[in-house]
Amino acid sequence: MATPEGSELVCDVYDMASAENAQSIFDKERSPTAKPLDGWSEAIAGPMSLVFHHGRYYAKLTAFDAKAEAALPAVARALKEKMQ
Amino acid sequence: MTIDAPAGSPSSDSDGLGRRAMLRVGVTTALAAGSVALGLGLRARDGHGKAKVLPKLKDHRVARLPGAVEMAIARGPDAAANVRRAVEAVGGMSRFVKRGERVVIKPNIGWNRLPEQAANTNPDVVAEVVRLVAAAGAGKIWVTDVSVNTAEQCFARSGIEKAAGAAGATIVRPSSTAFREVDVSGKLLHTGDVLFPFVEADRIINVPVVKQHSLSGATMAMKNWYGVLGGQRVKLHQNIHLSIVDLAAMIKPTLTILDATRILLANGPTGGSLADVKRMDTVAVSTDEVALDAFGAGLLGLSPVDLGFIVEGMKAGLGRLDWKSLKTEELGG
Repeated sequence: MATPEGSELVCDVYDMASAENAQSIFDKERSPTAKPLDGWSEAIAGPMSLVFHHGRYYAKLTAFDAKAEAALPAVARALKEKMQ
Repeated sequence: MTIDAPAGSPSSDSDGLGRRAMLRVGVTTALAAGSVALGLGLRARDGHGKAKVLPKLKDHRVARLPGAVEMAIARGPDAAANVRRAVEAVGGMSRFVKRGERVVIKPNIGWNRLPEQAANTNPDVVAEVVRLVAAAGAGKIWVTDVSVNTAEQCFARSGIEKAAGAAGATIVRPSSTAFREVDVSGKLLHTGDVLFPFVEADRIINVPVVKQHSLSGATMAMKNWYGVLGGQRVKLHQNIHLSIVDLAAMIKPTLTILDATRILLANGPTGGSLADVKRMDTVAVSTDEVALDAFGAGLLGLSPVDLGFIVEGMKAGLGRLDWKSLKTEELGG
């Protein structure tokens, strides 16, 4: 996936079969250094990284430069909408 | 690949985590589906055209040298220099690789990540290993791995393809014709679809990175052998410690070079966040991969006795858990 400026990022989406499983893996893998996203308690972010769970899905977004990193929240929210 | 199904067996891995890999779905071109689903391609055939299972891989170890240093740990800001000093301390590459031999080097190139994100082996470490093997007179040098994310992206983004290629290695990305079914005769794994360089090589050098792993606790030397397999290797995660030991027993490497230039402390094995990465500037070398894993566990703040694959590896006679009992040389920066 690329931003309009040409920066790349990767979205890994895991179908965990149930919301409980998605929550479980989110909690288990949660980095102690990651910070919650404003207004979105199921999402956390660190440098170059954003992780969230929604319904049965667990998603990890990874950026490779500052422009892509800045785009992570918007991409994550768009991805979440597609998971409805 | 044939395995014993662990269905119904109580396992610490048989929760939703085990299902994760199997149910992984793709939403971008960068997702995982491709390379791990390989392994259905060219295989040796018998006279009737049926697929033939090749015998067990040969033992690639060299003879022990009485009194020789058994583990070397080099620390310093130059990763390539750390490799050189540590390899020299255990006898030099010429002890392990002879002129004309075919050598396969196995880094971790599993993930579409930058070197700074520490999900793959450091490219400078891999390139220096290639240079040392070339200087020892190897006739052929392969660098390969069965990536979890799309191989082309992993090999490029990791920096390993460029660095190892420039150092003189032949880069082997997994393809449908690159696997051979071999006998494993493990407790869990009976046969495995193995990348061809591991079948054909005279010498095997393991070059793993040190990372936390959400299922196995850590991934270092022994766990790195997952990356020789095609087929549906995700099933192995359902009994991860036993499958790691099966694979470690299958491959008896010539040398292991543990990369702890940067280590991933959390959110492994995939990583991504730079906040989870710690710079250690360390390379450790030994022929004992259990001892190296025990050493690496300490870097992650873990006790080796809490990692099932290390304990089981020791019980299987693959090496020593108490790495401090080895004759060790530590080299400062």
